Amino acid sequence: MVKDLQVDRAFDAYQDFVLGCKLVWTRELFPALRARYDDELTHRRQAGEPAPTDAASVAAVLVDDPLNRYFGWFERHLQRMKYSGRHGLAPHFAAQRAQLAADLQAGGESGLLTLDPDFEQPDYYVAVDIHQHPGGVWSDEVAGYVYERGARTTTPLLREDADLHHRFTREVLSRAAGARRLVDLGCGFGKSTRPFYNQHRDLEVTGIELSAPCLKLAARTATEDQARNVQFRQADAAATGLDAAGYDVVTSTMLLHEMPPGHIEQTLQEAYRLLAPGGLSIHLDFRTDDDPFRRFIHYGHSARNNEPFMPPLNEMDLEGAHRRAGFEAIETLPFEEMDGTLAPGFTAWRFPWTMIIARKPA
Amino acid sequence: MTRARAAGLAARVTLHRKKDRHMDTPGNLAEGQPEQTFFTDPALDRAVAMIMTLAAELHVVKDRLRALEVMLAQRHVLEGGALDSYVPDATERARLETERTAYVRELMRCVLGAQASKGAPADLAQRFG
Repeated sequence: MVKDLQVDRAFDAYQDFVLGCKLVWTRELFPALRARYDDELTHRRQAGEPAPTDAASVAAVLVDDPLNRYFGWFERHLQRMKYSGRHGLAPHFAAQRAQLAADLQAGGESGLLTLDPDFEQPDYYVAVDIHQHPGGVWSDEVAGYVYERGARTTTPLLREDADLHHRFTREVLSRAAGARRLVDLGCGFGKSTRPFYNQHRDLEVTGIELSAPCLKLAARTATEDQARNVQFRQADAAATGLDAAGYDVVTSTMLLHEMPPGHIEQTLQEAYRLLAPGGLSIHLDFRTDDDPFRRFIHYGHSARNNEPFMPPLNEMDLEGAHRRAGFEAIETLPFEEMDGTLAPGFTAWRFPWTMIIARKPA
Repeated sequence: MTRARAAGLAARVTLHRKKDRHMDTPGNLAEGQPEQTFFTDPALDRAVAMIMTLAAELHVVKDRLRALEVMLAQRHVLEGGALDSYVPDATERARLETERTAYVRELMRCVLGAQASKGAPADLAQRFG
């Protein structure tokens, strides 16, 4: 976790307030909405009316429900407040611009970072400010800090926000015994990369990312960690420029849902190219099943949180895309981001965490 | 990356140079796009936004007041709990009541929906036209 350069009591109080509201939304409003919908299903069944079959028909059922309206309002606006409110992340870090630029120098001089001064961002990437992060995660020199601070509460119930990444690191390496070289695609500011290079100093790790501000923060963090087994490189996950067949593992965390399906196909092809025979491809992302209510919630999140490619990812034939890239042994498995979230009695809102696993033929 | 591979990738997406966009202004509006609405009347969306903005600011102020109280107690300017047990004298009570009466009247009279000054009748322009 990046330490704030200066304490700002008003900022901390404001962000705690917003998070507090989000926790109520997560733990109480969502279960109440689910119960409201289940009541509606019961009434429909008793009246001999058909149950909704997809996200759109669930939306039609709930369109006039006040709880549904407030549920959507709060998801949209608590995120807006978090990033753009008076004490939001964007103005908070913009006010520290000079100090942060100096703070990032250490990363730039570490030898752990390769930036492309002529790099051009893909059109789909700059077309929307994902997560309602004004300017996106790429366009402002302090964007990495904004993203890092914001990501601490992406999953509100997680007290230790890094725990999710440690769990996924264990999953990856339990399936890749003896791995020596790993690529983390779409590594951002290094949150998903850090458990790999920090806890496995014999593993050579390469982080690939579009955003220069995020990469600078990733390199700074790795410099503080005194890590020498990681390199960060500015490149497109679909065209990394890395050597073919040289890696044992290609992974990503929360990358695929930020891309259109065509780019996902190219990224899978690139992953195949990078892997040595027998190598492991493993992505952690969001895929929900056919339950209409879960799709309604997931697709609603997509619209409210400026993440337009979630529904296309959910509906594409991802297994087929892997097969076309040459992969075999393709599995899709639910991922438990913290203890108990996959248990039947768990009622709070959560992302539909999913691992997509495949192998390059030996 | 080979030139051919880059050309192929570029053919499939349009590439943009980095834009110089800053986040310095709180609540900076993104290119005039209308915000999403969740209620039948979008005025309600905006009213709820004002309520939540006020609620957040109230929390910030309460937090600051609490910090002030703690620091004053630590510096022995105030005894701990002094604010909780403060009883205003008669003069201060009268002042507080005057202020409170004016405040709640201002707040509650909004629901009357009455004009505070004499508005023009609909036919005024015609009468003097």
